[in-house]
Amino acid sequence: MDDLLTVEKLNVIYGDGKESVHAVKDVSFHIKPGEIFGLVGESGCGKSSLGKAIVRLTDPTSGTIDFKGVDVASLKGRELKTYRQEAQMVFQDPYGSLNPRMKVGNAIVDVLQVHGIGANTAVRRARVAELFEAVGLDPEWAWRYPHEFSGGQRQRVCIARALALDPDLMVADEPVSALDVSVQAEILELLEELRVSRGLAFLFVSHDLAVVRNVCDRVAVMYNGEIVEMGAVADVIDHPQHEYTRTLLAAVPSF
Amino acid sequence: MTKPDPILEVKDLSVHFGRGADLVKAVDHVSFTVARGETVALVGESGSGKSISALSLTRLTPRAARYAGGQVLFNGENMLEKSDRELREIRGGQIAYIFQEPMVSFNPVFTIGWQIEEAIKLHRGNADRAAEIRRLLDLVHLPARLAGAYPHQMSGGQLQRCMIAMALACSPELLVADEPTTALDVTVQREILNLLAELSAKVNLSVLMITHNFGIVADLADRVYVMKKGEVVEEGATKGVLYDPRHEYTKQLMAAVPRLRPA
Ligand SMILES: Nc1ncnc2c1ncn2[C@@H]1O[C@H](COP(=O)(O)OP(=O)(O)OP(=O)(O)O)[C@@H](O)[C@H]1O
Ligand SMILES: Nc1ncnc2c1ncn2[C@@H]1O[C@H](COP(=O)(O)OP(=O)(O)OP(=O)(O)O)[C@@H](O)[C@H]1O
Ligand SMILES: [Mg+2]
Ligand SMILES: [Mg+2]
Repeated sequence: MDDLLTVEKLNVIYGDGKESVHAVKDVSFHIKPGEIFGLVGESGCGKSSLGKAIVRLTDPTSGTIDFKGVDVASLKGRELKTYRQEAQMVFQDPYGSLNPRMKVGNAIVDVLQVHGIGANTAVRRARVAELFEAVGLDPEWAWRYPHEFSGGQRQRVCIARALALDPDLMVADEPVSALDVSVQAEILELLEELRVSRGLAFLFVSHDLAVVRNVCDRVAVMYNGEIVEMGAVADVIDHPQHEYTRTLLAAVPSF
Repeated sequence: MTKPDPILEVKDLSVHFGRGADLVKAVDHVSFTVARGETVALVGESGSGKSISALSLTRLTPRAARYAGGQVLFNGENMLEKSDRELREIRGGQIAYIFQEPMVSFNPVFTIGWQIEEAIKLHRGNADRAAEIRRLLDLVHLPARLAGAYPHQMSGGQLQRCMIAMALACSPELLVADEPTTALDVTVQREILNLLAELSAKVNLSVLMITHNFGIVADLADRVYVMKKGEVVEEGATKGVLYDPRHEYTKQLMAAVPRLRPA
């Protein structure tokens, strides 16, 4: 099958001159429709920068991001808006990505409206209730402010928001890090279901190697801005080739 | 197994939000203790009241929270009866926090170095602050150059480590760590956990650790409390709770722990 996303020689550099940070260095990989592609690596190695560049929230310094045959690295205007609907992001920091002055459900209703989804507000509100149910939250709670949730509840609000536009690609940056293992399993099951029924594909960033092992098809290991190892998840975890991958696996707490 | 000398005793604590149909019993008759030098883990369902319990210890809860009963004894004194001013001194003095969401605890318009310096100033006076900032950053494996960075220029894990550095700046007696390593890769996480273990051995630091990660619990905690829907449903020594859980919910949790090498 054709790839959904092909990233080639992508670079992200923040700032310039002596102060500049080369966060993503010549990164290349691809994701197929319905594939869950894991991304693991050292804290600060460039995973979030890569994810944000792919959904065009950070401007890549160079390289190409081919999405369904179109280079989205330089998209503007209408086309960028369409792309933003098809490629959603769940942010690592849920609190920072929610508008504190808006009831979370209203924020989602607005997004639906901007993208012309749902005939009227009642339909959109019903869609919000459905999404809340799907992520294990009481639909009544959709009409609360972000600060009225627990950390893990907020994280699920963000997942619901990302799913609202029925995307084809989800860049999920530590999407289940604030969930207890039981709720986490339910959310991962939901994502798996969407992958199967809708062909939803994921760039799944996580520090939890056990979760990556259980949900991802392939995985890339990033170190200092570069991908140092990539392969089928079982191969990488059972037969790590790169020194850093070995160090990482050796540090997993055993329980 | 309980060590005899409690630094923290939470007795029958209840914290509520809303009223009538909107009433949320976020913390519902919760009791737990932490002994001096002990590491205690608070685990359980998302939304079960772990963070609100932790914030209650020094009344850091959101304004809408109502204390509906119970006591929080820290070194024998009830924190719920202290003035705001007394509590401010205790926070960051004897009790330090690592918050669940790091971004919230930093001011976006100041550099990281400036914010760490404020924490040092508050508790350390005029010692060589630049050297102390470097020492603290090094402790959490961050390069000294990050002192000049603003919060939005940091990765999730870098910011989390800055918060850990700030919490340790005041040499607290009790560290309340709410999901302190969720944004860290396992190698850095291991370093941080080793650091906490070392502090607990060397200076008798007590730790109340909230986490969803049972690997961390197994590694670090002496005892565990399991929460669900505002209540403690099971408690005990770590080994017992993890390997021989009694309560249905704890059993369910243990069964859901993802495994690196599925059997
Ligand atoms: N806006 C920015 N300006 C300058 N530097 C930045 C900016 N955002 C990130 N960085 C730097 O770029 C590097 C990569 O950051 P990034 O957030 O991509 O890391 P990460 O792999 O997601 O780490 P973590 O696992 O800790 O979240 C880090 O050194 C960070 O300090
Ligand atoms: N300001 C608020 N107003 C109303 N309800 C609140 C408020 N803050 C928290 N709650 C509710 O109190 C309950 C306990 O929240 P708490 O943050 O303690 O959960 P938690 O155990 O830390 O969960 P998580 O693991 O998801 O972080 C949740 O149901 C939450 O929605
Ligand atoms: Mg990140
Ligand atoms: Mg919490």
